[in-house]
Amino acid sequence: MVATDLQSLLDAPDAHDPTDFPPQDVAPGLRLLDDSLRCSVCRDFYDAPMSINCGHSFCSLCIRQALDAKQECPSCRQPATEAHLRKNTAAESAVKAWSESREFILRLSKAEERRHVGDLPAANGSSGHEDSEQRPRKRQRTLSEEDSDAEVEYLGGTSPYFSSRGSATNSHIRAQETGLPSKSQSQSDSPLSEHRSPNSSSVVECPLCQRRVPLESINQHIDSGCTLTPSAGGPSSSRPHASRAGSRDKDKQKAQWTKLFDGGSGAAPPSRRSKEKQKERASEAGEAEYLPKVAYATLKDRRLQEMLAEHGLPTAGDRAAWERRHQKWVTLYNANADRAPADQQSPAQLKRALKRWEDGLRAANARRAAADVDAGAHQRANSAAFRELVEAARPKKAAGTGREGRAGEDGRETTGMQDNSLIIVQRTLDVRKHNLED
Amino acid sequence: MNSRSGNATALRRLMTEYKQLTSQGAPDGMFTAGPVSEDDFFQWEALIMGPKDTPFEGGVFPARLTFPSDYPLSPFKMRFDPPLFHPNIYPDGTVCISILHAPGDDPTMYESASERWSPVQSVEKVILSVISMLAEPNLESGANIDCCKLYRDNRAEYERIVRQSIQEQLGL
Repeated sequence: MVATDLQSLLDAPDAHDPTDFPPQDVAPGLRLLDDSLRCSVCRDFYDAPMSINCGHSFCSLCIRQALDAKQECPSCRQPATEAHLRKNTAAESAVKAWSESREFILRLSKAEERRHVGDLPAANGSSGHEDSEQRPRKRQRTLSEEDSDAEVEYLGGTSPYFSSRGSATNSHIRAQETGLPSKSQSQSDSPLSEHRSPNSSSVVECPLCQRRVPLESINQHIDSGCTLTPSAGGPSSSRPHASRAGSRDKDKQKAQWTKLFDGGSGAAPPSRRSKEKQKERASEAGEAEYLPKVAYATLKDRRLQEMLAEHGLPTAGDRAAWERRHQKWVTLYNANADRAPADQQSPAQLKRALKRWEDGLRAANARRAAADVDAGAHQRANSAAFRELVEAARPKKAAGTGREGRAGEDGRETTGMQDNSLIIVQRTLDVRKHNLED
Repeated sequence: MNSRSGNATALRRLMTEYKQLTSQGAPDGMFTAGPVSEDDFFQWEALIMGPKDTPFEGGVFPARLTFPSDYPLSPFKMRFDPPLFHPNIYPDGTVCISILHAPGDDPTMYESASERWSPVQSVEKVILSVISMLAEPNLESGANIDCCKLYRDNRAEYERIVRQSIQEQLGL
């Protein structure tokens, strides 16, 4: 169980990262694409992405927490505050689309990678195992073949394609070979491989999606990205409902468009739709849905407890715990309000998240407290030895500066901090002083 | 497992970083890093190769990385075990480098805010910084003052000590 923990964790579906995709030379840009849709703080896909004044985007929760710690952009360190946060709806819809298509593209690119690794050594015979080596060779081979073909055509002049179109088609093919090696390869290889079944002449297996497709429409099928049916293209789904000006005309227009797009189905009764719209507008208009930040130092205990109770939060623990809890709640709540309405969590879910966070914090504190007690106990137990060491160190300096008393006190104060070797601290102080005098 | 993990965000991010390090590898294979054991993702061990053309060349230095539960909001701690003789490494092995200091604290009063920890830093970036620190010590914020002084006044002796300690470590 324990032994497999690490691997199973890494294989878990939520442990995804850009390196799931083949490297740049096999799948150009895919890793970068996956990476560019991730928050640089949590390394996960943007959850309610927000831009700040410098243009960098982060998950709402990530940037809010980072700004609580320090009011600057985590990436470029330009000063920033929560007032600068703006929703990045473009990134949000890109993430949504990408997470939906990711598995599909991953499957395609993996198949492509396998084909790269699997086919080429067989074709080239002597070629090495490294991908980067194979690809130029393959390209070279096809190029030279084509060149010789072209020569034959030019010399013989018997080719049916020749005269008007011969050179054009050849250069076209060559462009395909060099520009899109993966695609052309899949097209040129598939007729040779076992996918091809000459008997069932009318149906072939698509090399990309493995679906059975009529031979005559395979090219259209591939060109259409393996969606045989011409896509109806749903503009309504991706349309941003942006009219925050809220003018009646626009609403009316929108309603008409909606009616149009709902078309035959028309299932949703208009009242529900408009209600949803209202909700959306409300969340877009914003302020009412967000919780204000609180200056806790100005609050009485009673008031703070009331505020926790208002949101149905527990009032266990001391005042510091209340403040922590309320602050985290405000952050969680506001970050949740930044999500698209469909993705928002219920207050109960948020409360569970808050509890998980607090449990984790408690566990971490318990651990740290245990470590601290150890260090403190060690210092107390060895205080006599430390004192001896200090005494031993003093006479040496007495000749030098005559200020040993002060230096000793400085040393004692610093020991509490981190490493408890007083001697080193004291020597550090000495040398610093020397350096200054130099 | 869960008793220790505490923060789901931190765990998730550490997993991603580890996965990326294992599948991509470090640049030039200068280091490796990963969790010490399966049931504690917040304790890592790193093996760092001594950079070329420095006295540290040829050495392999193990270091312990300890992550806080609110990682990446707070930086992790890095400690060479056994300690290295270097101006910016405390005698107990803890690394003193500005990229590992949270914006609030400044033990040496020499650091500008621009080179501090920020949540977008990562294990990889920090270790690369540490490697360049091995090559070029920063005497303004020394952690091992004896070593600083030696480095400044008697470079040859400093390099001899470093080389000797590496040979001892390798059992030569």
